[in-house]
Amino acid sequence: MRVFFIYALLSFGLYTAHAQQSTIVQSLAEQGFENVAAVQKGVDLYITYENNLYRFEAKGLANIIAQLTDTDLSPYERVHFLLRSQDIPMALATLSINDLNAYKSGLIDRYTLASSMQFSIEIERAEGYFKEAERENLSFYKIDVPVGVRVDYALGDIRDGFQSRTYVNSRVLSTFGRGTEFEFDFLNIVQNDIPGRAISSPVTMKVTQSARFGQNTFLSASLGYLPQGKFGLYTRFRNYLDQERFYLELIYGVTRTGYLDQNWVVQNNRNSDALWQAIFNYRWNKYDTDINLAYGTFAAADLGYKFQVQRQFNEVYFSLFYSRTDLASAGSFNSEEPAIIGFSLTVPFGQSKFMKPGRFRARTEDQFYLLYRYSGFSFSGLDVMFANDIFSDIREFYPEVLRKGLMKHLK
Amino acid sequence: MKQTLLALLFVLGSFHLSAQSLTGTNGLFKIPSAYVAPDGHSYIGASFYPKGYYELYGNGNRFTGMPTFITLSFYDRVEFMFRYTHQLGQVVSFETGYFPDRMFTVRYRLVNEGYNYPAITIGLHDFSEAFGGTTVLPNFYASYLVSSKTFETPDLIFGTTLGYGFDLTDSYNPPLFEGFFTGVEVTFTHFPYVTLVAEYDSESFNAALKTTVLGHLHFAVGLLDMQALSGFFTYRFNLSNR
Repeated sequence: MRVFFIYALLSFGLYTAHAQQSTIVQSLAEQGFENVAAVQKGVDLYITYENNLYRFEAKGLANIIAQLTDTDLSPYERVHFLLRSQDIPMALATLSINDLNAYKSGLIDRYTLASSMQFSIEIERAEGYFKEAERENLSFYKIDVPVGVRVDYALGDIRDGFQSRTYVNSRVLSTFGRGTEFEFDFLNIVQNDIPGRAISSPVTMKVTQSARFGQNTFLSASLGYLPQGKFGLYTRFRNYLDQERFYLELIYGVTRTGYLDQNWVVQNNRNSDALWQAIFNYRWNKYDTDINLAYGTFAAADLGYKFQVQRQFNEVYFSLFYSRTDLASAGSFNSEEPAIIGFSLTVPFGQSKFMKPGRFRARTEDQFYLLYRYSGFSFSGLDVMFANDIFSDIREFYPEVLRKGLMKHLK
Repeated sequence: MKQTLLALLFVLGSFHLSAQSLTGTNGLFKIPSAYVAPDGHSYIGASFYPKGYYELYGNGNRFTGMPTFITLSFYDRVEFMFRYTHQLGQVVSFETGYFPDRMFTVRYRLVNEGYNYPAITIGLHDFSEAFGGTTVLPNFYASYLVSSKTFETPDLIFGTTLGYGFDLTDSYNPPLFEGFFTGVEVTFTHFPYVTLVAEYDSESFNAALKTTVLGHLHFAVGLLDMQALSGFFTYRFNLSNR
């Protein structure tokens, strides 16, 4: 009889815990989080999800934590969140239930809660727990259409000091499987006073396969019509060391230069280029700053180096750079300059929360990007643009960015 | 009535007084101070130079100048500014030979202010020439060391600044600050909405009045060389979580 009661209690306990996990998963999926699953390992609850609902990853996580404050999590001692992107596991956040309860009752504030949490890009063990788990609201075969604004400008023409071209761009993004994504980008010119060729036309049409391997190694390969008028293949390999503190990146690409005109006919298809680049990056976590040195070929197949310091403030990125390549740069009054300095600014754009991802969703672009090159009359030292891949938003998953983002966005 | 006025002043004003200067960097009126805004604090603004107090190479000083700038602070120590300086009333063309001047400025605070010693900052304005020659001539070049110390009494807050500008280039144009420059800012503790400024910019004496509205908008109006009306406004925003 006693055995029966123990068995019944255990069964009831397991059933209750399972029902609770199911409720959490259903709730997150209904809100629009994707690839959601939950598993229990002893006193640890693991929740995995992909956020395509909030523009900023930390904000998505903050909202999930806020919901958990209304959930009975007494069977657990810790909750682990495994954050995904294109279904690839990216980062792990761990929250103590005691700290959550203290936060709920007002004993600690959001800064203390975020400080007490643990974050890591080491995800292999946690990902292993989800091998058999069934995931809700898969992110595959959905079409996302981000719409945004881009501006090209030219300064320094003595006949017209400020020339600009404004585009409304509409992209089509769709994920077909883990890390497999199709991207199409069309630029529609709405204003233009820059002389030279300018047509509303497609600028990107590619398929990208991104993957994550052991020891924090990421790889992406993009094939098709790539940004900056290139047809071909780009591959990127990046290995992180000591969490996000260091990374080494190798880039290799084989392309032909040309563009698609308004009739989608390939024009000006010139000789092929081999692109290669080696990048070393140090991340100063205290101030979310990347100190980055790249050596290799740049967008115009020019060989040289670029030193860059980039400060991240949550979703805002400000970067200062100095580059020197074998392609001379033209400066003011037609002087030939050996190097280029400049800055870039990336600011968030449009909605901070999107509609729920569905079969088809239109939304605003994530960011607006502005590049300023002090002597910008040549293509010297221009960054290669890769469009969307696993590296596009990877910094949002960095442990310290998540922590600081939670300090800002926890309710 | 008095209470209403005080309440209105409280809403419009702020205890955090303006910190920018005519040149776009942190400073008094024209001269820079050693203070650097906290990490992530940023300013967008414009200032106004009357005729005769501003010169662009090849165009003399016949025009009024309007620098427009964005200033960003990093790491509680570094200040970076990008500035576009326009000559009002001038047309960009081959005939006039005029084109707005672009420049970068970077400042680094070497020493934080302590109880017994001042903050010390090194500044380099219009420095792009030093990195590969990206302009024909720097119009607003300056390099200096500056120190600032604030003293408080029950009724007054004194901000004092002393700096020395030197010429590290063999440029045709003289640097913006050459030799000693100094200044003082005074704020009344019981009326902290306005700051009075008196300074010597290594060439002439200037005086100004600065105020802050709605916590983010800073205004200053003053006299260059104690005779020419000048001023600036900035909008402050914070990119960091702090």
